[in-house]
Amino acid sequence: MPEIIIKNATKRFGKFTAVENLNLTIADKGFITLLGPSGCGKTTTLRMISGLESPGEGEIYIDDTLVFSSEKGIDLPPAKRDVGFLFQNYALWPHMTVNQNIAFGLENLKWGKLEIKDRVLELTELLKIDALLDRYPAELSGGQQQRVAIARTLAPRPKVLFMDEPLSNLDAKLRIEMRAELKRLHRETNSTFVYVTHDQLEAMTLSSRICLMKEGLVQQYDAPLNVYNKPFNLFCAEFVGNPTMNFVEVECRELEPEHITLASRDLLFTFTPVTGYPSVSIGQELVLGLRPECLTLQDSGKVQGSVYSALPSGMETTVILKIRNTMLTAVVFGNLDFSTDGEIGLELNHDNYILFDRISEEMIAFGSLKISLNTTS
Amino acid sequence: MNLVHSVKKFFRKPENVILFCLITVLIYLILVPLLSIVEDTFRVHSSELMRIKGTTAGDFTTYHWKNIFAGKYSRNIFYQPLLNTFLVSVVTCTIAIITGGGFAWLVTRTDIRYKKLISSLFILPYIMPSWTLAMAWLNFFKNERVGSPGWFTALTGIETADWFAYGFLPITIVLGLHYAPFAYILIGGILRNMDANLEEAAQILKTGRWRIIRKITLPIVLPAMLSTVLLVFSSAMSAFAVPAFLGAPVRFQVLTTQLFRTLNGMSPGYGYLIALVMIVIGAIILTTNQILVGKRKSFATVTGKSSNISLVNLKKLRTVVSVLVLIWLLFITIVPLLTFAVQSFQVVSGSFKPENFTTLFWLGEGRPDVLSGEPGILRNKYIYIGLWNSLRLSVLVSLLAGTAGLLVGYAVVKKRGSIAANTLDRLSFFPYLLPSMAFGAIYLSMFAVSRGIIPSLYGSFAILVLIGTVKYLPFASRAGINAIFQLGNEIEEAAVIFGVSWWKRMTKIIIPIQKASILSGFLLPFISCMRELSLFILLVTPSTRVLTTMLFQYNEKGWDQYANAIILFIVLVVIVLNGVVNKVTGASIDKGIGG
Repeated sequence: MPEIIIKNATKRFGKFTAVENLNLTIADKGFITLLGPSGCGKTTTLRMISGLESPGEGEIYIDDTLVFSSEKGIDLPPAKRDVGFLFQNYALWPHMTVNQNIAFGLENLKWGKLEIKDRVLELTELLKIDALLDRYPAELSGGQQQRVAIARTLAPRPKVLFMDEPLSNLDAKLRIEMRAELKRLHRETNSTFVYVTHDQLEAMTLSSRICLMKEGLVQQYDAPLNVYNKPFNLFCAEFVGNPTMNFVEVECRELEPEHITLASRDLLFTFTPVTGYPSVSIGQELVLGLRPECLTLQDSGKVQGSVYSALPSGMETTVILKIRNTMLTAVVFGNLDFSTDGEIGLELNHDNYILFDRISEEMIAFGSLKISLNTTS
Repeated sequence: MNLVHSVKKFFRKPENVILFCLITVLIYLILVPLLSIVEDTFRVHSSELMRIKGTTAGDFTTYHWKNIFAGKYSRNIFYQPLLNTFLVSVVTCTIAIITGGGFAWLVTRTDIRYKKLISSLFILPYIMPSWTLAMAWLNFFKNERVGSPGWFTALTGIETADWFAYGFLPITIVLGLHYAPFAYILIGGILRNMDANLEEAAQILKTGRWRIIRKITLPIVLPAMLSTVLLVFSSAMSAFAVPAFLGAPVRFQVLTTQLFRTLNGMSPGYGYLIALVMIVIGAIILTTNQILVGKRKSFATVTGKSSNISLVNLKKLRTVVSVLVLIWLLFITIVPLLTFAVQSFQVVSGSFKPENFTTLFWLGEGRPDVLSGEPGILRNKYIYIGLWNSLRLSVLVSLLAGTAGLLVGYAVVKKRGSIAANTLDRLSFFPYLLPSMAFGAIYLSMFAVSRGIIPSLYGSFAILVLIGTVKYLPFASRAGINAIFQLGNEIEEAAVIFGVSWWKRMTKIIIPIQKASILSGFLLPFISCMRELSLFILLVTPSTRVLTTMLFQYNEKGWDQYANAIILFIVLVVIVLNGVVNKVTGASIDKGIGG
């Protein structure tokens, strides 16, 4: 079973630590995304597993084979790890035709001529590029190059397929198309995919699990919807989701048996935890996280604000709401528009608002909220 | 156990093996000689025993330092030549920048005609040996001081003045024109790659054409101009042949001619010290350049695309300017070659009477009354030996330097940022700083005796190959670094994933893709070697002499016809080869200049 296990892997470039003490288990036939902002170590992680880069310390197993161990001095070259790698810029060899590009690796693995021919045909048909066999990469469109690169990578039937931001060079429309194809391909090839991206939407839509990283450290390794709904910390909450989650800096005012009173500069909140009563103290600095789609807009609500800006997209409308000096983003589903500077009411009637600690940035509790204007300040 | 592991692991990567080997070899071939030259300035040399009394050869002495910097004759030996060198370099720079930059602007930014022709003609002076123009100048303007008068006097009857025929003025003009292609390529490259939007943005804001040039174009080109200034300055400083040819009749001395006199004469200690001074100046200049180039990279816009630059309309002047430019270019490229051709058929140069023409210098068997009975060029076995030596030397140097340069490029790019890579990068560029003649002098002293496993190389062909390879490694390694850098890592990694061996990755992927720029890394050493004089002049012996050193000897003897014929030979070989390689592979010399 091609399960990938990474134990205590650390990689440094000079003084800069790219990946720190990474522990990760990637299940067989999974579609794992390494997600994070640039410089978070996701590409380095991918390159370490594939063997293009050697970690300084740690162990890596692919399919129960120890492929890297700093202690035992084992470091198998990529070719012996039975992996495929899809590069961001495709890295097609410009002096070879599509056919030669796909066949080159197989020739090197000493496949027979007929076998190679069959395999090239099979893949080019699968990826719908069989009409382009004699073209050179420069004569292909971006999408076609991408498909050739995929075919070349899949050709030797790797057990694991690594992809480094493969869609980032495509235009928006093609990207969505290729996303669907990649997911399909994952099913058809029946292999393990490890995918690097900085695009949270790509990670959400494609993967079976997301590994969210920041500055070389894993922040959360979870199913996409869990990352979305139950972020471990402020970073995860902010990185995933578009429009971004609203964050309101608050201070703990009162602790009562059932609920907690929180105050920001402009607003007062009554927070009723649903996940067990958290240990907070009066005066503690906290952050409230509210997903835009969990803000309900009505003509008149508990609190009145004005429409700072409205961005209708047809399917939904993003409204930026101004209550005194606080700006909140709300998403309203349906074909609606709002007039700028018009008055509007806000209601909070969900129970998945999140309370974070402002110092440790960690999630403390989930709960429902009641909102009112802060009249004391 | 762990150490063995890590050593093994280290050397499993080809780039590490290359780094290790090349650094070791280059330390021996570059750094050790450099230290030995410092040592030589403090030693008594055998030819100096008469003057430094009471010493034996090899003793420690500060005699040279005292006499060069603070002696009775310092002014003549050192300070005046230093000042001359400085002035020559400054004026040369100015001429090179103005003509090169001006041409670059004309070709990239105006609608001048014959752009392709102008471009290739303008590069010619750089491809030709620098003394081509110097000799052409002499052919035209020499006066009675050196025998028969030149064409100008012969045709017009006007005697040229010394200051016009020899010394400072012609040296700076000739060197300026020779290095103008530097400016043309560097500045032209920036102008061509500059994002047109930058100028268009100013245009939209209703900025006038001249104001755009002054406020937008020039500042962006400025770093390239500074780079050019420094490169031309250091090249002009180490030029030998031109000041030797044009300065000798009026005893105009610069550091390099002084170096030749002292090293070849009785006071090598002075020579080594002058060489050291030149190396230090060169090092300062190139360090400055590197800092500036580093800053230039921060002009991120320079890499932008510029598809449709609006060209300046020269209007009515278009044809006039184009034709004038063309005529002028013909005068500095084709006309000199023609004079060489014509003159090699003249018994007395400058005389156009029919009886003055002869094929003696080409086909004659040698008459005792003319030029010591030297047989004609096409029947002269020494010429053939020289040609053969020149060719095989250039081929070997080009193969060795080009291959080493490619390996340097591979290792440096692969290990980018590591200390070892930086060391190799700098080390491989270092020979650029060493004035050719000083470098020759060092090798002369270093390899005169056998050292360790290396036998005495003096008088051998191998020492010429060795010094040529090291001297031209900077060109080749720049080309190599560029080639590999442009390629990007992933193209190679895509093959690593399939387990393709290093050798196969190089031969099947890297070299085929980058063949044009890699080949220019081979071409540049070949051409430079073909026309090199000062590097070899101290090291050749009668059996290993090459065309250029023969030319120098013929010239010193005043046998102009032979000298002219040889120069024609060299120029033709270089131009034909450059043309062929360019046609076949797309590589060209201008890709490698100034990198």
